[in-house]
Amino acid sequence: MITCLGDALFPRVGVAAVQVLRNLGVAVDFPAAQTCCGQPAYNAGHRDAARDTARAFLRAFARSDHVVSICGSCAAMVREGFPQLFEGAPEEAAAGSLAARTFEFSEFLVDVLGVDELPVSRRVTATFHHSCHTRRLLGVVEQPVRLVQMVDGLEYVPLANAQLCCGFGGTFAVKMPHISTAIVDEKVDHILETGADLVVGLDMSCLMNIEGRLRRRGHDVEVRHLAEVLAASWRA
Amino acid sequence: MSVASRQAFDARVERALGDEVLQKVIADGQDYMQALVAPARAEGEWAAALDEIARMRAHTLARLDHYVDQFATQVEEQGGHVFFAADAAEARRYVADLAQRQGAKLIVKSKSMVTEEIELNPALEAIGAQVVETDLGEFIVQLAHERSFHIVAPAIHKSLEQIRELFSKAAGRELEADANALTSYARGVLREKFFAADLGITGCNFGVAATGSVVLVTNEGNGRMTTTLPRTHVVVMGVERLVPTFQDLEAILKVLPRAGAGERITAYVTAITGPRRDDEADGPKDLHVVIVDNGRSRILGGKYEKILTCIRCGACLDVCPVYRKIGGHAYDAVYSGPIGAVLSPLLDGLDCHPELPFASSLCGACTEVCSARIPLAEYLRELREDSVESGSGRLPWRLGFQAFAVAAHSPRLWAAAEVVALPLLRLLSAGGAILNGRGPLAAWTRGREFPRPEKRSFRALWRRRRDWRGR
Amino acid sequence: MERRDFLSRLGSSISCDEPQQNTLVQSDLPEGQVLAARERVDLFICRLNELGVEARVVSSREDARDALERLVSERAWSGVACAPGLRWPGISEKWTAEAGEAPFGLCEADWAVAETGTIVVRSSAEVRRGYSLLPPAVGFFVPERCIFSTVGDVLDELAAGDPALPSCISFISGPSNTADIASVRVVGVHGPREVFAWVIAEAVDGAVDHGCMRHEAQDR
Repeated sequence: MITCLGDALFPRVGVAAVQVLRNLGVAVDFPAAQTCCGQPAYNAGHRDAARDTARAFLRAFARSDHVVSICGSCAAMVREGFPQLFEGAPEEAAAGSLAARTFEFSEFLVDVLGVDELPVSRRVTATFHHSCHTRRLLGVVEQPVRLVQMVDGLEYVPLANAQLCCGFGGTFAVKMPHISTAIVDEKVDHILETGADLVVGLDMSCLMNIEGRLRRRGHDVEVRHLAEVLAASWRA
Repeated sequence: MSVASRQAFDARVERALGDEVLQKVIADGQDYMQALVAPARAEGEWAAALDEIARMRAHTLARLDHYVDQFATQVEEQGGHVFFAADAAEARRYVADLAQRQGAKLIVKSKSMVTEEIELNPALEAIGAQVVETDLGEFIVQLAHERSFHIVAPAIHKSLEQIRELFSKAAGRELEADANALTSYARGVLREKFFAADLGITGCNFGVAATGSVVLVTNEGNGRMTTTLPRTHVVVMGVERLVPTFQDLEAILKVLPRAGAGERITAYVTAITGPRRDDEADGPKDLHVVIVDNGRSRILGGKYEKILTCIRCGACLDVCPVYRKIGGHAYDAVYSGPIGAVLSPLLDGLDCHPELPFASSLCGACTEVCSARIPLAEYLRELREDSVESGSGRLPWRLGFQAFAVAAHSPRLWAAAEVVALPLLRLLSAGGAILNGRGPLAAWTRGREFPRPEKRSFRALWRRRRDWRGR
Repeated sequence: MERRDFLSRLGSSISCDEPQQNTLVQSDLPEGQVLAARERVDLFICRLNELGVEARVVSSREDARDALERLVSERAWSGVACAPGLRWPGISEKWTAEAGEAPFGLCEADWAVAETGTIVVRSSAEVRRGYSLLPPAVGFFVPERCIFSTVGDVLDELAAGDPALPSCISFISGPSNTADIASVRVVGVHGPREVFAWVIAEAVDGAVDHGCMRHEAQDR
């Protein structure tokens, strides 16, 4: 699952994810009918548009064994949002079936593939941002940190107030920009406090928000999706 | 969302964001409370207690008419009076009439959010009574002519110096900038009031239906003073604040003091059953319980019903990233924080608080900590649906999402849109980022850089995947 | 609004398919710790200390009275407010002061909770609410037999409804306190600033015992 944001703005994350999965021996397909899971419309209260959007999404993955998402909140939309969105609708069963087959990227690596070591090296000080939906709706907390710590030469520094939102929140970021910016400012402060040169995350929406504020404040801390870090540092 | 309403909201938000001292106070307060409650939350028993609270409260709501009936009957059997207030106006009128009949000139009040909800104080002042808030936090905001800032700690936003100034002005002399000294001052002032008061008003943390008991959960002792010294005691309670029996308080008492104040139990849990008995020598001779609906029956039985199970612990305020930045006053409602963002539109109507459901990143921290397992974040999202359905969603957003849905159905249309949009965005960018964008982009770029897109979308790259470098 | 209309407005909102079941289904709450008598006392004292209560175990009511007399003399308190039934022969008349003016109030606990360091006092014709509330310092005689393990245990007693509920039952856990001023904890706001407790480690006299009589069955 590449997601609308991943497809349009962060294709390199998708490429990296595919590379990592292939390196781990997984046969990867990209059903081109996928576009968007409908989360932006759903969270903004536009239920009908969300359902319309999501219907196409359901069909796209009908024949996939496992659906691996490079975005935790999109995986959460499928697992937690779809049952609610399609309750009582003809697509209810299909939604349930897709939910059972959908995984977030780090969750897939650790829980399904059983990865406990990786041929990945990079000398860097890094911290990790736990996105809210990934943490609270998917319960994915340890898996990505374990993967980050598998990178040989990487010094991991945990983020203070890690449970705090980064302030993206979908349309919230543009509907309430004053509050959103204040929230991401604190996240940026905590990142800078770690002294890390790299921030790793699982959601490009959060990372886009964090990077945008870092750059506006004149900082060049690198911001990367976990897949990108792993793919780029994979030892041949 | 009217323009004027939105402007007023933005002004309140900006005022809070611009107040550096306030920002630090709120963040420190949240961090302190979270650290204080964390050990309790980690205990295995905690989850069981929350489940029990949710279960018991749901049971109570499902039979609320029966329990209200039982409660009222019991109160009356013990010699108390019960008044059923359909709305705020009825409740105000009853209490004001009672105060007037009894010639009450001085009224002491223990903390009660529902009395703020029904705007009781002005009604009592209008009949010539002096109303004194006796909970220290409420006493402070009363002196400052402000609204409560936090459900559990009304004056959390005030610094020591601000409070010193307030008290000094009231005292007519300079007081020390020391919490003990300031508390002593308040104790002295309020002790006089307690002894002189004609009437005492409290809320009710929980009413016990089986016995008609009114239970107050407090730390300061003002609840006990208010319910012991004046000759008349008036209880104002929301109709949903009932538990079936005393035993049902067990789970609540395990959670409320911890979630609300980080304590194993509060200094005082007081159960009042009727006025003083004929042979008793102290306590009020007269007890009146005012049971307030004010929109709660409308919520009962509906999709937001669980909001009525709230035990007013304040935990959601202590974890909300939005409250952390804007504080309680920006909500411009009696109830603030996540609980307020849901309850206020439900009680007052969405058109009174159009921004509140949207002033959230839906991070879910509130749902995670809620003592009664209320799906607060989900309710906020559903309130947005209500808002959109009522037609108040702005046209560009509706059209945008609908157009998006159309494109989403057709990968070819989607890909075509990318082929047009991506190069355009690249063109608009300068030096690697897009500044001063139009429409939705402007709201983003006011505070953040926007990433410069790649030449090709993922799906375009996928078609060329045989060319991908590396493994 | 009329009671009938108010209730029917509630009733019409409720969408409950089950038949009216008015008794609450048994709660699933895990059983609280059941402690032996000695453990209860130890835990109780420990919690009281945590709350800032000066707590001591004495082996008889006489010892408790002696301890109190010593304290009163140490502090040079001008009077003690307490229920007539608590007064004992030999204490001077000045010990029977009005609750509102006395520097110290004395009460007997009806129940207590080990887990939380709570002392429970019921109001009555003899026991004024003011005794444990108005003086700046208050003390409690706590017969060991009155100490239950958990708050839930005492709530069970209350629910049993015998004796009938008084107009006021106070669960008191430590001195009054607040952190409303700049989050600084201050002890002693509107209620007492100082709290003392003497746990009497023996069977109680008959006179003031109504709350504790049922506890004979408790120690197994």
